[in-house]
Amino acid sequence: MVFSSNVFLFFFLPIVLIVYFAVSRNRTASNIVLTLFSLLFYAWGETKFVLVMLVSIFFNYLFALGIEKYGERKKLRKGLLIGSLVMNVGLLGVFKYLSFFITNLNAAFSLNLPDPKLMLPIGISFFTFQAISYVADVYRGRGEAQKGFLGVCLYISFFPQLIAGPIVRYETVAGEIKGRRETADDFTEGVRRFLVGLSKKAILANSLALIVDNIFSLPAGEMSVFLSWYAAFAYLIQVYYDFSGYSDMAIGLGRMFGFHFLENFNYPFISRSVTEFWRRWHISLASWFRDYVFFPLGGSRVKSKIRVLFNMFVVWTLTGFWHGAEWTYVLWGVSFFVLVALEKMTGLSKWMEKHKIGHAYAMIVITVVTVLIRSSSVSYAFEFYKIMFFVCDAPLWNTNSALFLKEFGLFFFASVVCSLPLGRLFEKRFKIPDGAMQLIRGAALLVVSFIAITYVVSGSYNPFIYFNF
Amino acid sequence: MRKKINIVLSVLFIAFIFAIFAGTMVKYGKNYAYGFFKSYKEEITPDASLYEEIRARINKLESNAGQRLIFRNDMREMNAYFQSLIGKDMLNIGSNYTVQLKYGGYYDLFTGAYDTEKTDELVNFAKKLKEEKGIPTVFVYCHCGLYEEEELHEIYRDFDNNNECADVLLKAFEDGGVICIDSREAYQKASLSIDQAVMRTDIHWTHRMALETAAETVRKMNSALGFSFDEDKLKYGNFNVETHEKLLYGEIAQRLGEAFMEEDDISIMTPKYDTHIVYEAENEGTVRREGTFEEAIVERRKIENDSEGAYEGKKNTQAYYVYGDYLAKTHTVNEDAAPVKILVFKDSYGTPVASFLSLTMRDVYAVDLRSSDMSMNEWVETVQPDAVLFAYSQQMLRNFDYVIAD
Repeated sequence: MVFSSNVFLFFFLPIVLIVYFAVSRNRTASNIVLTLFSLLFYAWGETKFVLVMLVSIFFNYLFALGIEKYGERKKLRKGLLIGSLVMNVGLLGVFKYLSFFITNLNAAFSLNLPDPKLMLPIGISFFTFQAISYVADVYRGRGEAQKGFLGVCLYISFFPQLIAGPIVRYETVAGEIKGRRETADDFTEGVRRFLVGLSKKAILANSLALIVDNIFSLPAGEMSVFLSWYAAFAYLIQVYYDFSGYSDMAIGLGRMFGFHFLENFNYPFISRSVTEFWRRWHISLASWFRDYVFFPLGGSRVKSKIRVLFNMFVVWTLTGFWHGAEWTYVLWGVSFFVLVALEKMTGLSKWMEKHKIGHAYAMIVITVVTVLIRSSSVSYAFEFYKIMFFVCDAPLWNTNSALFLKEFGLFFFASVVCSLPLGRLFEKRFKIPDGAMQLIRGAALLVVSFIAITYVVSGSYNPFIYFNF
Repeated sequence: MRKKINIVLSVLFIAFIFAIFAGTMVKYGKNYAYGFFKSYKEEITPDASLYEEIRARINKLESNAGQRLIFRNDMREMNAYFQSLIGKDMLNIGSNYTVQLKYGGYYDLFTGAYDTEKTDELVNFAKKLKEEKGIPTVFVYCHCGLYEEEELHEIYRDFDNNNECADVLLKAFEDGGVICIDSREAYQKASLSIDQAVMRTDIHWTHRMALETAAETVRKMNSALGFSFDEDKLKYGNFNVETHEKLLYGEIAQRLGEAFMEEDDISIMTPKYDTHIVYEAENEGTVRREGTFEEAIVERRKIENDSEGAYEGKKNTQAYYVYGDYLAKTHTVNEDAAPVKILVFKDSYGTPVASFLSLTMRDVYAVDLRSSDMSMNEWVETVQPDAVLFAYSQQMLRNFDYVIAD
């Protein structure tokens, strides 16, 4: 089930709100309600895999209990942590990466290993990382293990962040599982945030998806250089609105039920370097890899530069691989490793961050790299690059260029404008009183979210990119 | 101030979703319950597993939520109006890209390439039929919407692949040795205008266009296969025409709304000459009618404004089904026609074609595989026809799941 659907907006959400707030004074009952609705939410799209998720949660629950129980026995605790990591990574490996490895082994060594072609459980990368966060945070003493299965189950399966994040650290919400307070302020702020996310997703992300999906499926003969850049940049912004819209909705829904998730995006398009971009983009994933992979490997506090580079290489390759079991994703991750490493080693990022040209540099480079994850294969990506960089006969402009600019140009322009903190600049520049600005923002949100709902009800094109991750 | 605004936003949003939820349950609760408890079974086989049963129930709820929601049509129309307001000419509602043609009618652009793998199954079926049973197969291609490329504004021409895809699929049939009738040629021969050939408010063609295609089918079957069907019987001049003005509110109109278009006129054509036909239809039960073409085949209830397909109780959405619905099987017997037995596999475009063919062929069996449990092979075994016709539009062949040879 997706948030931007009739089923969620007009059936699931009203019912869960009624039932939850009918029992919200009793914390155990309200947690049971949220857990059951979360399982229903997951089962709606992936009935078969509810069991897989429950088994994973159950074993993580046991591992964390064991780690806490044997607090004095360091080796046993470490063994339990490793056991949990093996189980979680193994689960991810079987469902997400097995086919990839078998296909590549067969191709490389002319083998004939059977490919089980397992379906990918939706959101497995997200809930697995949350499960690892749970056990690791208990191990590090950053949160107490949940004594009851219900608490862990709710933490991992809580429907707002279950299938597309943000990756919520256990330490962030450990106290709120049992000790949260639902307030009117939180609820109304949550609704507002949800509406912002819904508008981003239904109006901007989905319109950009129409540009991207149509242009990427055009035959080479119907392409132009303009279209290739238009689609590539539209895709980068589409991913932003798709995912940040989903994160807004998740953060908003969480808040309606009394949970406070951390921010996942911070205006990434004002970045002046790739390094800065990744400080502002998908913060929950980047910080997860930093804290659970980069730092345990030694981070940058190691003796040799080679070792730092190695640690960065591992993190970026895993980041690429986490997004998808394809060579395009691996190459995408490695490309970011090269860029970030170059920026760090040469001091380019510091220089760029002080100069306006850094904007152009960061946007162009990131757009070019992002083409990789939209391409069906590495060879397709390179064919696309040929068009982008005039290495083929594609014209600069053609009829399709005019069509896509005319029909979607406004959405594209609005998407760019809305991705920048222009509202704040506007407010400062013209010294608009806070009250008036709030009124303008509120009225605009009311209109825009109604339009978003008409898009949802119309059954408009509604792909969700991060489902596959 | 922010808190007050948040309260207003929250009250409006929560009230809105609760009102839609409650209103929908009051108006459509029975449909939801019927889908969840009863009709989900249509999607699964009797020996389906528990998992398949759960999935079928979820799918039913999902499809009901997509179709049956109070104010759905109003919100859809508002969305189309909003898109038009911001200067879009290509309106995206659902999975469609709808544009206005130069003459004023609306048209859903065809994007992407045609996958000939899907056609191959039908071609192989036709070859097997010819080799093993000596039964010839004819493909009647029912073109949708764009009969004149110039009608499309230039900016959309590269993006639209309707005619290109039609050429690809026809070539696949011709290469496989299947005799093809291209409705675009029938259109040219009849010297029709696009307004006479396609509905303005709907994706379907007019009855006139279906008649011309049926006439072309008969001509081609006579010349290529040696049949001797009476071609004069399908000449337009041999029909009485009765026009019902502003009657049909078709699929495109329902999507875009009254702000964009008026209802279509519907013409019903009945032969001027004497006819006597026996008609039998099977779906959930059996219907039998006997009499003139009009008495046996023309479904007058389909042109009533308050028929079961009426749009919000006002306008007719089903008028193009005057010559038959997508029933599992219809069988017509016309003793005055050539003693030939034809089996037609068809979609909604092919429905009126099959009806007009009954004027020139003794036995016409028309089968819609979407409503039938039997495969094409099983139908051939049951009917034992002299010739098999596929009367399909491009959309149907793209959505190949329905067309099952074995």
